[in-house]
Order: sequence, then C-alpha cells, then structure tokens
Amino acid sequence: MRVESAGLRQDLPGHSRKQNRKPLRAFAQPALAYCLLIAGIIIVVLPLMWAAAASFTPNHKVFEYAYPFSWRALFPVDFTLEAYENLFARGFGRAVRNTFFLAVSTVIIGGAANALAGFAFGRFEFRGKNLLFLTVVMLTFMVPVDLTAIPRYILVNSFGWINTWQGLLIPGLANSLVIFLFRQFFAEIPQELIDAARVDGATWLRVLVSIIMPISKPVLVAASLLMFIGQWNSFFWPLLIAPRKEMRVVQVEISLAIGQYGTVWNELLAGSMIAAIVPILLIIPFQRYYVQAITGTGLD
Amino acid sequence: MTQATATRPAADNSDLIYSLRRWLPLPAILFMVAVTQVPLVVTLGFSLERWNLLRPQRRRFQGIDNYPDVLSDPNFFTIILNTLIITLSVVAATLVLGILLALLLNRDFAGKGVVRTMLITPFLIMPTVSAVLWKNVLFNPAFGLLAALAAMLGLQRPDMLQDFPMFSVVIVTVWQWTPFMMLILLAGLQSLDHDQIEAAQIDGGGYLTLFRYIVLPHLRRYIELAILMETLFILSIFGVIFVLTSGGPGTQTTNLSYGIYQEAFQRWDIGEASAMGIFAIILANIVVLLFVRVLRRGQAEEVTA
Repeated sequence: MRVESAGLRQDLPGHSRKQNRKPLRAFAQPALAYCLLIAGIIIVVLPLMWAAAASFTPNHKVFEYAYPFSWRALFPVDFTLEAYENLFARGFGRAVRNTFFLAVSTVIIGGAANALAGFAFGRFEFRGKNLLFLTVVMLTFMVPVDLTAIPRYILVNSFGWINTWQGLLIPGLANSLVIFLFRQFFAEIPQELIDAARVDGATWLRVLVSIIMPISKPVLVAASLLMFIGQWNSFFWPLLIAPRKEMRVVQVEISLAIGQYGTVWNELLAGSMIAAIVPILLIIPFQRYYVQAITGTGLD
Repeated sequence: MTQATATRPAADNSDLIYSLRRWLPLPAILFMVAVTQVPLVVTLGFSLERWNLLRPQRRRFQGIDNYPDVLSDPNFFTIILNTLIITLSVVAATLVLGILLALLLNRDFAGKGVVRTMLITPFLIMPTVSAVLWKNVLFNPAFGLLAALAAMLGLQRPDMLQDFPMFSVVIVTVWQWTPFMMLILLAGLQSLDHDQIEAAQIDGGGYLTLFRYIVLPHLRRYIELAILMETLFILSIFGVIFVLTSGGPGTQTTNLSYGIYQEAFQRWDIGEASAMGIFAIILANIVVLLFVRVLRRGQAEEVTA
C-alpha cells in the first residue's frame, strides 16, 4: 500500500511525490490544505484589516462600506489621520507610555528578582528548600493570579499605594514560570566550568559576567518575553489599582473609552491598532525563544 | 514541572557558592514568599470574617459562615458551571484547531513565514482589545460583519451578545488562544524524528494510521503542556468578559474571576468574595490535577496497548 501524508509532506524526500500512484489524491490533499489555511487566514485577518482600514477613515464614514459589505471596507479609501491625531490629543500617548514603562520595569526588576530566586533554587542547598519550591513555584503556578487580587488590593490599599507605580508594579514581579526557567538554567550549568574559572583566580563577579551571562541569552530572552507579555496584557490589576487618568494603561484606557466616547469608532479602533502593533513588532522576531521557553518547562 | 525535588548535588566546596549562599538566597526568596504566599494566607483569613467595606465598623471574625452562604447562593453554581463551560470548550476547540493548523504549517510552501506570522497575530493582541474588535467589528448587530453576512444570505441579523452570549465569549477566546496551541504543537511536530516517519511509511501505514500511532503519541507531551498552561489562563479570563458582556445578560457569562470582582469591588463584600476566591483556587487545582491524571492515564494505556 502506498502512503501519502498531507501534513507531513516536509518529512518526505522530494522524489516520493513523483512516485505517487494516486495522482488525484496527491493533488486533492494539498488543495484541501490550502483551502483550510486560507479560511484560517481570512478568519484571523479580515476583522483586523477592517479595523485597520476603519482607523484611517473619517468617523462618519466608518460603516459606509461595512454594511452592506464591500471590499472597500478593507482598505482606507478616504484616508485620514484624524483618528490618530484626536486620540493623541486626548492623551492616549500617555497610556501607551505608561504600559511600556510598566512592562519594561517588570522585565528589569522582576527579571533580577526571579533570576536570584531561580539561582537559589538551582544551586543552593538550604533548609526547607523543597517546601519553598513547592509553595512559591508550584502552588503559585496553579493559582491564577487574579483570584488573589482581593488581599493584594487590601494590602496595597493599606500601604496607601493606590494610584502609584509601586502599587502597580511590586505585586506582579514574582513569576513562577520565570523562576522555574531560571532554576532549570542555573541547575544545568556544569560546576566544573565555574570551578575552572575560580582556580584561574576569577572573582565571582567575573564568573558571573564572563561565564554565566554569555550563555544565558536564550533564558534571558525567553524570561523577558514572558514577563513583558504578561505585564503588557495585564488588565484586572491596573483596573483596580490605577484608575486615575494619569496612571491608566492602554487596556484600561480602551475599556473605559468604550463607555465614555464609544461612538467615536475610528478613535476606538485606532487605539486598538496601536495597542496591537507593539507586541506584534516585539514578539514576531523572537517567537522561537517564546516557544522554547514554554516547551522547555515541561519536556525534560 | 514535577521534578521539584530533583536538584543538583550541593556544591559545598566551591567558595563562589559558599560566599554567596549566606546572603544571596535570603532577600530574593523572602520577597517571593511575601508576594506569592501572603495573598493566599490573607485570602483564607478574610474568608473567615464578616466584612463589607460599606459597613467597615461591623467587621468581625465569624468562622466559616461565608462558605455555606456562598454555597447556598444559586448564582454560585451558575458561575462555577460557566467557568467550566468556558474553559472546557475553549481548550477543546483550540486543541483541534491548533493541531490542524500546526499540521498545515508543518508543510513547505511559499510564504510560510508570512502565513505563520498572520496566524499568530491574535495571540499578541491584548484581550480587551480583541474583545473591543469583535464586539464592534463583527458582533455589532447593526453594522457588524456578521450582520452584513446575514443580510447577504437573506437571514435575520443576529444579536450575538444578547442571544448567544456564552458562544460569543468562547469564540473570541478561541480566536485568541488557538495560536498558542498551534505554536507549541508546531514545535512538537518539528522535533519529530523523520526516520521514524519514513520507516512507518515503508511499512505501509496510511496517513491516519501514521497520525494515530506516531504523530499523536509524539505530540502527547506537548499537548499535555499546552493544555495545562492554557487551562490555567482560561480558568481566570477577565478582560474579554469585562468588555464583551460584563458577565451578562444576567449571570449568563459570569465566570469565577468576574463573579469575585463583582462581589468584592461592586458589592464590596470582602468576606464572601474571599470565600469564593478559596473555592476558585480549589477548583483550579482540581481541574489541573484532573487534566494531568487523565492525560497520564492515556499515556499509560498507550504503553500497555
């Protein structure tokens, strides 16, 4: 019996296609595959194209080609930057800056804190280590973070940290997945590598800078991505802690804007476009590391 | 993530480690304990109090009374059911679509990189932004794309959020999470051993047989991991529900996260909201352990079969 594998075509050497004794099937399967792919792309891309086009359209014309639908709805036929100009005049730029600042701070401060904790779990022996690892990493991982928002809110409130950066930032720094990543990474560095440098008279700082840092690029990129996306996408906590206009992040700004000036469609969509474009530009070049980070946590 | 106890042998004789070990772990570990464990313990404490922020002077310890109160509320079961429906249907749908798309993307064709990038896009868009786009671009009963499609087909224009609120929440979440599943499974497919496939083909296995006996067992660990992580996120989705339906109409799309939010930050009943939080944490752990158990059993059958 001759075999044809649609999804695994790349696994077949090129000549096997020619040897196929069922030409019709060989033609039908890729055709079906392409149809499915195209359907997938349409479902994903159509609403995004519509929204992108509408964000460059004067507000009174936003729905002109959408209902009844015509291809013109997918392209900005009456191009204008009005929505973006108005949006930034309203202070949307501040929300973007706030979100960016928060995400970068989380990556830097949280990265250092999680790396230290991961280092301790990976390289040290101390009393209660396993119990701590079980609670700090495993249990925390199994409890969705939003579900403990109440005690965190009340604690933050009692510190007087509502509408402050530290209130937004500090409770979100610990990331069990990132601690776990760093633990794996540090545990796998061979002791001989460090010992050899120590024998050569390197200080621990030098060991850190010239031995550990250079080989830590994948784990650093992966951890940074996880923390950046996590903070960029956080909504519940900023909504509770920083509702004040000057502190709002993009998601809060957009969700509140629906009620406030919901009929200004092109501005709402322009805001959505800006919010979407940053992580897309940031993540696409690094998607390999992101997948490595996720798959690396559970597959060895 | 199960080998928590499998650590490297202690490096006692290294003075790098020795000089660091005395002070380095302490602040980092203490900080982690503070930010991760204190909220859990405090939730437990609050759940034993009668405490409404609107009547703070009446705050007092009252034991476990909040728990029967939560359990006797008929809405609570709707909320639990909603949470489970959303989680199970999203995970199941993204799994099927994710496998399908990963298999398609594992072929060689022109423009593969562009297509993959496009298909990942929904995962990179903030949840509230996705919800805003779907609510206004697709679901809008007057001008939305779905309304336009229905009009073209001569059907009545549907009011999705009013008539099919749960379906709408699930669809938007599936749209968002399919790329996650797809990415992880694609990584799994790409690590598949080519020789094994060729050997199976020489032995004369059809495509479905190949998929059933070689691809699927190989993907099992990737599937397990992706399901586990996705479940943890979907159990507590908030942004999509907040924007799309605000838990409504009525309580039709209220999940645990949204229910706790309403209890704590709209009714200001901290005691009862904390008790709900404890139930939610228990539910999250049960669901995750069940998933792991089911998947493990499947794995064992695979071996003995």
